[in-house]
Amino acid sequence: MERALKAGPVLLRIVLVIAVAWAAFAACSEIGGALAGYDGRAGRRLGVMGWREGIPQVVRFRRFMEAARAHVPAGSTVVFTSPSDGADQQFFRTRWAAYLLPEMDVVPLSDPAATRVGQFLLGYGQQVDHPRLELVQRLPGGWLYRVRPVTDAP
Amino acid sequence: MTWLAAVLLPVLLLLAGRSLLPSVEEEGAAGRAVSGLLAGMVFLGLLLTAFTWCGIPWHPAGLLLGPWLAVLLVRRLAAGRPAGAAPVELSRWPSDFGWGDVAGLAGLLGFALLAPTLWITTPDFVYHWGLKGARFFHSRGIDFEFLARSWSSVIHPDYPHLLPSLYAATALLAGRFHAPSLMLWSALFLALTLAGAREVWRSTGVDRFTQQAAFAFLGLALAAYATGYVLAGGADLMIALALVAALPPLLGLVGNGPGAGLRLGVAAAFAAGAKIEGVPLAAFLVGAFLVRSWIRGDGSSGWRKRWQVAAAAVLPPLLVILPWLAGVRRHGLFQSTNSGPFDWERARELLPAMAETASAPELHGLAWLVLLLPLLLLWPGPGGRRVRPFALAGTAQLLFYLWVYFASALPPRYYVLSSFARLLFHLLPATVVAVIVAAAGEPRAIRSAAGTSVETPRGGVSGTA
Repeated sequence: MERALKAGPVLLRIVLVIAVAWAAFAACSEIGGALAGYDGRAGRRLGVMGWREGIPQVVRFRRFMEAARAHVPAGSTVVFTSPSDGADQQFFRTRWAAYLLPEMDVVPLSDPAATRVGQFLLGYGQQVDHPRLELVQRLPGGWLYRVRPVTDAP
Repeated sequence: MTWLAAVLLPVLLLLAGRSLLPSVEEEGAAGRAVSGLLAGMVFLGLLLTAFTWCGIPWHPAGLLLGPWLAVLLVRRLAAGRPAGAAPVELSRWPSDFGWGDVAGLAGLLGFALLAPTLWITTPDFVYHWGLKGARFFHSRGIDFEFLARSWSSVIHPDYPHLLPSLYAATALLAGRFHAPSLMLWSALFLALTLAGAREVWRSTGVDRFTQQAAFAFLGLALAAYATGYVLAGGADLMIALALVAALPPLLGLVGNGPGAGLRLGVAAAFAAGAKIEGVPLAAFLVGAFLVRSWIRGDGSSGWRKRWQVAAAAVLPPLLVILPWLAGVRRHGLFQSTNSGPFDWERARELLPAMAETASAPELHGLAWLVLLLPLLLLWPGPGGRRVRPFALAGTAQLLFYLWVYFASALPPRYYVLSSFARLLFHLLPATVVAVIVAAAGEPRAIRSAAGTSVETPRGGVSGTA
């Protein structure tokens, strides 16, 4: 028992030295990997679920949203749609749209309330043709429409 | 101004928090920084919640003046007893600064420099944390109307609001919502976690080599985990911090009085304000602390003091949880996907997915260290007895996480792959700290801020220095 107690601190030190080496390798690997990823962000192409700031898709998307903001008053309800080009791509694009337009309510076109509450419609990479839609502006990367109230529909 | 606001607000909260907490002789400079900042952040969250409930729009002047009015009020109420911090040795850095500190801080620095690039920001910052922060900034309050809309059901409308409120408050001071500077909060949470760990090891008399090696390991491991699993911008760092901040009172390192209860209560309140899973964690922390303080108290304290200690531990989390719960109920925000029928059959998908998650290359096997947590319950000797209250609370939280996976309406594999690594991160730092204390802490030592022995948990005197 006494021997075990004496050996304990030595064993702990050995374990800790190995652990520090393990953590140092992990940190160098992850921080180095992140730095390399950040440096190469301009050449990255990621699915919407993996979008990160600085990659070309996000830069283009931001440009589209900034252009839309200039034509839509704060507090508006904006219906958002984009191409159905893969599992959940539309969903995550809508989340990015909501993040980039926090002063507005961004509603996915698939939401049952969209046609009732929407005042504007943003089509990112997607033109929408509907009698209730009136084109406000062709934007870089998409279209902005005003939604006519239901009573105005033919 | 955006960067200045992100630095200024934590400094203000530290000063306000330090003034609100009664001093405890055993607490060192790092411990004071951790408990003070947590108290300041919790208080700001309460203040902003109160503004929202009273219909008062958030304003920079309210942020700057509110905490100080509260400090004045508390000091007025506490007139007759010393309210300020007792003089302590501010720091033993850099005189005892060692190789482990350099290595651990290098990890922290790597994370802190990368976070503002937004390259290691969690996608959840875009999906809900940052969105809510920006929305609250524009609405000048917690926007329950926005959270209650049918299309907001995907942004966790039922989560507590402390992190978005901190983001909105920073944006209010800065005049605009600027995501890169908000990432400094994540760096701060990680820094406080490391400071809290160092404080616990110092207080428990862990020898210098072990302290240095453990600090190096923790700093590098947390930086690797948080960078690899992109945790910046989310609230998972807050839960991990809350658990480490709860260690001094749970391990009996800050006495057994109301000061210890208040520190535990602030840590529990911080957890409860951070995420929905922080609410049960707050209950487990308070429960473990009360059991510890009632069982291991020095025996000389009367019922009156015991109730004071209990009230100090229970009130802060209640002040956070009750308004949150009221808001969730009033606006119907609770999500039906949060709970479902308990189903053992889900184990067939859950367990392989959990093993797959913990073995993810970007985690480098670090997540498996959480398995040490339940083992702490069985750790023999005085070291094991000392950390048992934490082991109880932490294991209860781990079991709660498992229960949630078994009783969820969400597809098991998807649910585990999208969340389990973050949940394990909550428990990792405090588990490492407690394992080191159990293995290398002086069994009965509680060192004062100046490094001298103070007392043993049962009132004896240890001769360590």
